[in-house]
Amino acid sequence: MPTPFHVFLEVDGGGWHPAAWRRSRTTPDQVFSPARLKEFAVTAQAQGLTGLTFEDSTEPNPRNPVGHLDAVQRAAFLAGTTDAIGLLPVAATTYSEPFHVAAQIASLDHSSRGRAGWIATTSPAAAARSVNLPVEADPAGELADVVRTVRALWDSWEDDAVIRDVATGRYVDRDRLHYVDVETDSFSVKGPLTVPRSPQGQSVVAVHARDLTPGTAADVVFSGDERARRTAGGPLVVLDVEVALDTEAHPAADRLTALDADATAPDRGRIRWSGSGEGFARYLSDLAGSVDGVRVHAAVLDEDLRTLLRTTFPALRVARLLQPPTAGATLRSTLGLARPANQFATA
Amino acid sequence: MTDDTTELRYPDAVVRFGVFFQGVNHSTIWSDPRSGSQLHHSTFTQLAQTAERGLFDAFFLGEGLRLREQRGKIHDLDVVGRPDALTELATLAGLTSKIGLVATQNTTYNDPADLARRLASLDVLSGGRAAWNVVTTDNAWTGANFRRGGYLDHADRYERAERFVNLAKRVWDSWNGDGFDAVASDDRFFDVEFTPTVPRSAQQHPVLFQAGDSPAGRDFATRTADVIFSRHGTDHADALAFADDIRRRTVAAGRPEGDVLILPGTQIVVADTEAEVEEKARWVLEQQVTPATALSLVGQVWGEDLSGYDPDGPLPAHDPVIEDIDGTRGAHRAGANARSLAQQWRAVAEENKFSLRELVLHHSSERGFAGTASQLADELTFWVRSGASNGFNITPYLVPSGLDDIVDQLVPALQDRGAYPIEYVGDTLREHLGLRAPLTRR
Repeated sequence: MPTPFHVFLEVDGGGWHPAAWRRSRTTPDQVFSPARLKEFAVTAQAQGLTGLTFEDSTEPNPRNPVGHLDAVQRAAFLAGTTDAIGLLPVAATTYSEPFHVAAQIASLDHSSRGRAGWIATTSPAAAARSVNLPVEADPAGELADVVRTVRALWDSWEDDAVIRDVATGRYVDRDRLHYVDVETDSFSVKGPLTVPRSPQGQSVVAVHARDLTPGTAADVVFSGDERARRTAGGPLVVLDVEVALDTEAHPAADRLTALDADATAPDRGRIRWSGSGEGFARYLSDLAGSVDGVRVHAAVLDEDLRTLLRTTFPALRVARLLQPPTAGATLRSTLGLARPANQFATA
Repeated sequence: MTDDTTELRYPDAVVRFGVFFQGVNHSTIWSDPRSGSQLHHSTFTQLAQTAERGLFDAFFLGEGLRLREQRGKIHDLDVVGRPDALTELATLAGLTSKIGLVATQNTTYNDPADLARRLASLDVLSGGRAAWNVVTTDNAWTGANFRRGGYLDHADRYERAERFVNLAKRVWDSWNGDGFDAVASDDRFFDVEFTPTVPRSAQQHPVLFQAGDSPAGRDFATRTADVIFSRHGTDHADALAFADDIRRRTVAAGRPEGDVLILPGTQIVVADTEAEVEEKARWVLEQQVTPATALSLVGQVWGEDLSGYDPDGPLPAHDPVIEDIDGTRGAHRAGANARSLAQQWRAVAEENKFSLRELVLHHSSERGFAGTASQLADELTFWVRSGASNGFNITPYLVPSGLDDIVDQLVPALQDRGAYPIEYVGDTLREHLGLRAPLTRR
């Protein structure tokens, strides 16, 4: 068996390059059309990718003149029309209500039948003005607190709390429902969650390396550092790679030059790679021995995805590096992660 | 029930249907073998797709932000636990193409920038089919789950709600054709500034539903909402009085009389013959109000555990141990004076020689309509044409199959009378409901 290697595709907007929307097949107002989202999801699932990620920000989006849609909503929209691929939306933690985030991701796990992930991320300081809260001094610490709280809420129902016992008339066993009673410097939550425990028990929690503190209980870390390695017992390491690929009409270098002429791409702390689709496949094969997977950010989704489909992904399949998730499998089982025991359950 | 002396003020009106998937209640008969899971995606999908087959305008989800309790213990007799409404509706947006998707969302424990954005996202993903059923909460008990706690005074909740809704409308109006205008507010509820990011949907704004029934709630609705989701869906005279009051308040708010649609919640039991109707309605009622549920409902008023009482015996002879009924088991009777309610109940029970459970069954029997398809078609047509409502929000007593006979029998009977649409006239919820442009964009 080759080492498991997981390929994720980021599908927000037109692509990672700020000028991507100008080169998309659609008009700017259609960049977020539901039909287009479905097309990406169906294609990525057919290619055997492990997951789609949905980046998000409430800041105005410089990558597209018409902004972008809420990530959890986009992931949920695809939950019923896919059956194997993981769905990992961003939900920011700094100014959120942890109770709402816990309910949203648990619901996504229910409606996707166990394929939900959550990219827990800090919010930009400017977001504080949108909710009238003071700027958080320690966003990473807040993130760790929110992740801990959300995980507790996900466990606030034991798996078998719904008993539907006709003889006694009881729908639930209240002894298997738990108050979480979390109290931190900036919030408190009583519990239990209003959503019963979801198929994965705990949805997969992913965190960007930049947001990670030792106290954050993550299952997956997105890293932009090629030297990143998994530590024993630590989270899976997935490299964030921004690519620009040769298309039939234009070499990658020319495409990047043209894109950069329209707008300068900021450094987001990700690896940047450009070249041929075959070359990218070789690059990923080399990575496969050292990290658990890669998240591909396409410069222009409409253009680069074609090269990925035509050359990169087929080459990875030949090398047996793409291991398509089974229909009906949970994201945890695809990633080789165990279904966690419930922290409140007694033996 | 049909009163021939009432004129048919709206002789061409059609009946509109929505389905209200409450989630948490004792109206859903979970004990029946046909009852599906309250969480499984197939339950929601089947119900929404059946409603869409029946040309329903809207699929509603309820919301509760804390599990119900009775005397400090989680209530365990009814269905408990449901998905987050907006997340579930986004999934349904991908699996349906016409039906409106209505999320009940609270203005007390959300932020306008965040909630308006999530609603707008659903609206774009569904092609203009989203709606928001605006609700408020004022109890600290629910607030214990949130950063901002239970800080809101009762008197403030509609003022905050109205400012919240108006801020959300500005978010939805922020696209200027070339980018987004910043939204700022600095009143005592919302001191915020941000730039929205979600493009305008096919229906411009999510449709606004409002469910409050107090005078303040009615004024709020007629100033700001498109549709009222009322509790007046059983007694015609009561519904007509409510509808007339809403029309009066709508005009007073400077809007045309019919600008706010009224869709009361109700339950509908259909069967083939009158004998079967009676039998089925009785069965539904007795499954909903089990002996344990009857004791629990009475215990809520008396403020004590009555589970040791005989449901077939009398009401407790002593007065309730509490003054007021709290809201921890849902808002229905919250705040009512326990002692006076108990006195009323004892009087009704004595007069009719009702046992404890018979009394609860008696009160619960007024939750909707029962009849053959033909009888129901006549009656519901009369309701909308006399002006008592514009249609109904149906709570199925069984999920996911509880709409089947309504869609297969009642809808065709209404269509035969010319009192129900024969196809969706457009693609957006605003078009289905015949609503004009959003209030801020006229």
